[in-house]
Amino acid sequence: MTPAIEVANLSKKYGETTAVENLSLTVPSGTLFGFLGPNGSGKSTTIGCLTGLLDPTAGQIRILGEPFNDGAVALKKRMGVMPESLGLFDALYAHEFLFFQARMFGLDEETARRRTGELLDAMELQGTGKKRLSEFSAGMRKRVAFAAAVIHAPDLIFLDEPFESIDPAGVASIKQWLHKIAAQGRTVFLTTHVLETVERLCSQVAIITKPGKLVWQGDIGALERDGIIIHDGHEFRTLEQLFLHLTGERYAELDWL
Amino acid sequence: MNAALVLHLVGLRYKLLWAQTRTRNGRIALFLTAYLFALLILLLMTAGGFAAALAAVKSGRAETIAQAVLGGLFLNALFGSVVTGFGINIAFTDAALRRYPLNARGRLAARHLTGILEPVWIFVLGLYLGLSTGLYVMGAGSFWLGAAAVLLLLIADYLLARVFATLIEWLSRVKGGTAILFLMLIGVSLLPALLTRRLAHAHGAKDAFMAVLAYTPPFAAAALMAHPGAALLHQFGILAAWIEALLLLLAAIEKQAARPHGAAAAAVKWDNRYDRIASIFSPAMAPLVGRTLRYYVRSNKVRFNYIAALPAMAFLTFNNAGESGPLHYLVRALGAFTIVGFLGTAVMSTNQFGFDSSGFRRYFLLPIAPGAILRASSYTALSVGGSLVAGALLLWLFFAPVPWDARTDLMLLSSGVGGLFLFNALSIWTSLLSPRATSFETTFGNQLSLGANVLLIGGILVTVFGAIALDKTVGPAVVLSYWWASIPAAVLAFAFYFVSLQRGAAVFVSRKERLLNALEGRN
Repeated sequence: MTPAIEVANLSKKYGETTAVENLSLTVPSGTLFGFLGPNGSGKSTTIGCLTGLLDPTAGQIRILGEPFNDGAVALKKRMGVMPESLGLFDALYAHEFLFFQARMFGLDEETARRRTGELLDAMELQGTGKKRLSEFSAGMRKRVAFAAAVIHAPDLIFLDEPFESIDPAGVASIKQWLHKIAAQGRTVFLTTHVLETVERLCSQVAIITKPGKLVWQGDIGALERDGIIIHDGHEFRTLEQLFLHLTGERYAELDWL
Repeated sequence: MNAALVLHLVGLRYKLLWAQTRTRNGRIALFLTAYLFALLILLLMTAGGFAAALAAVKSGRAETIAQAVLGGLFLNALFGSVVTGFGINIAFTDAALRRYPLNARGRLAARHLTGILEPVWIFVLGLYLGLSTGLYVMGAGSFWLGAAAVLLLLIADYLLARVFATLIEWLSRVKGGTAILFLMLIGVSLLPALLTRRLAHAHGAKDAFMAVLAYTPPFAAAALMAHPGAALLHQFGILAAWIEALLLLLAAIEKQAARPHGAAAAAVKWDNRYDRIASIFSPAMAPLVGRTLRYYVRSNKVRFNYIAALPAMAFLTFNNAGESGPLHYLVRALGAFTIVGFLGTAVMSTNQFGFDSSGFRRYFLLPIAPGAILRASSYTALSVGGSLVAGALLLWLFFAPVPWDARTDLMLLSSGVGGLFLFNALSIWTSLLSPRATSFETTFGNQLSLGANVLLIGGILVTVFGAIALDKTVGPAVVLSYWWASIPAAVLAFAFYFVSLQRGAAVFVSRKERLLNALEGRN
């Protein structure tokens, strides 16, 4: 089966600063893939390069088996993205924004309108007909951004911190939809700092450290099956233990706090 | 009141202003500001307030000249700040200040101190001080009384500007407010001409008018400067009463404006007017145009400028132009028509992506060539501006006091269309080369980028003074004889627009990441 994402030697520099260095990664189709790393490690930059928002300094990207570059318009139609900053048009109402998104991705008017209504229902945003997106709470904005990412039923979905600010019921719904999407052979590439969620949701995980260097990629099904992951001769019982070991993150003591 | 914290916030405001100079645009703005400041000092010492004071004392009409100079400066500062937005940016809102340990009085003081210490008001203070210093040097006034009068006058000027800005901001948000604003604008644009005519013809009207003016801040300040001994308390009382009244008025308007206007829960109602209008464009472009059209129509800034554009055009055309024959109106109208379509949309069209905030990055995730996004934005600005040109032409056809002549209509139409293409072509470049992250919600405060300010203010000056110069030097008969020249000029403007769209698309792609950084506040 063609991998959903193939990245070879991807680098991204901003002037002298390296955000991503020589990253190579393969994401199999039909997986819920967790992309993890500490703050500033280059996760969002990597997603930016994989979605056409940023131009890589070096490296090759193949999405759904095809080379991906700035002009890959047809390929973008098969992708759904929920960026870290959400990318909402604040002057619009939620239904206008979703309708716009659906039309831009080629849905006909009737389908666009129907799916907009269904998504608003599913996201519990029905009563927002007179509220602009700028007036939405953080959680509501996130729901709209998620709805915009999936409205055209894409084959590959990028979600940057999808669960932050959303209430538990909303998170549970989204998790169920994501499982359903993966079960249909489509792929979800997500980043989050909530490692327990990744542990329960994702089948594969990649961990990067600053500056965008891959330090581990693997199947975390072992945690569920055997209750343990062995790496470099060490045993880890949770994803958090593995993450902290690989990234060297430590707890800082503040005397005055 | 926590005075130390208030002063700390004032300091923070200046640090933020200074931080802006770290960007390339900011450095250019700093250079221009320093240059303007030096020029103002020079003006102040030569042809400005100081020289006016010298002339006033020498002519023995110190108070009259002080009244005229202070009145002129007062109105110029007032309208200049309200129209251009300089000096009435709100650095800290009341809501933002609530995170600090400040009570209501402290927050009020912090807001207005940061407001009145904006560089623009310091320039105005410099000009006022020039006059009072001049009077003192010539022995016609007291330095300290003059300084106190100037300070109170500046406070009144600032507060009046703030009252206007807040009132307009509030009106542009409430139902029916746009109609009231339109009537207000018509009134303001026609008032000078009506007043001049009335004063010239009605017996005793001028004296009555001057008696009323004696109770205005500039006249009270002028009396304090020129006759420090006479009715001291009365003049200070007038200034203090104005400040008190303006503060109360401002508080009342702010209270109204702060009333929650958030929408109650309401079911989704499909309103596809915008999409129907946008459907005249290609299917790939229509959703983008529909989206942008919603931004134009829902922006308070654009709405205000749109309704102000035609009264402004009428003012530019008919104010003092017809004394030597109605054909002079035509030449003035040529200038007004060139800019009118641009005036209504400029706040958005000169910075096409500045209002999108994080939505800007979505453009690059859409399955569409980036050039289409630039085209959609520009076509929307052209369409909205075009409606103003059409409106202006209709008004001209029905109301212009000029005998009907097809050549004049063709000239005006060509000027309107040509100006629309020219300024929208230039707007493409300011949007790409001089972008600025801007708040969609506010009506007031100058949030244009440096390039957009140069284009808008420069455009107004060139078209207005260009028309006056043409009128004075060449004359309307000669202008009319070259009526055909307006057509190739419009064609040239269109060609420039077309080339700008093509080239702009390539620049849009190559500057994508720089635009992202600028519009998401990272440069």
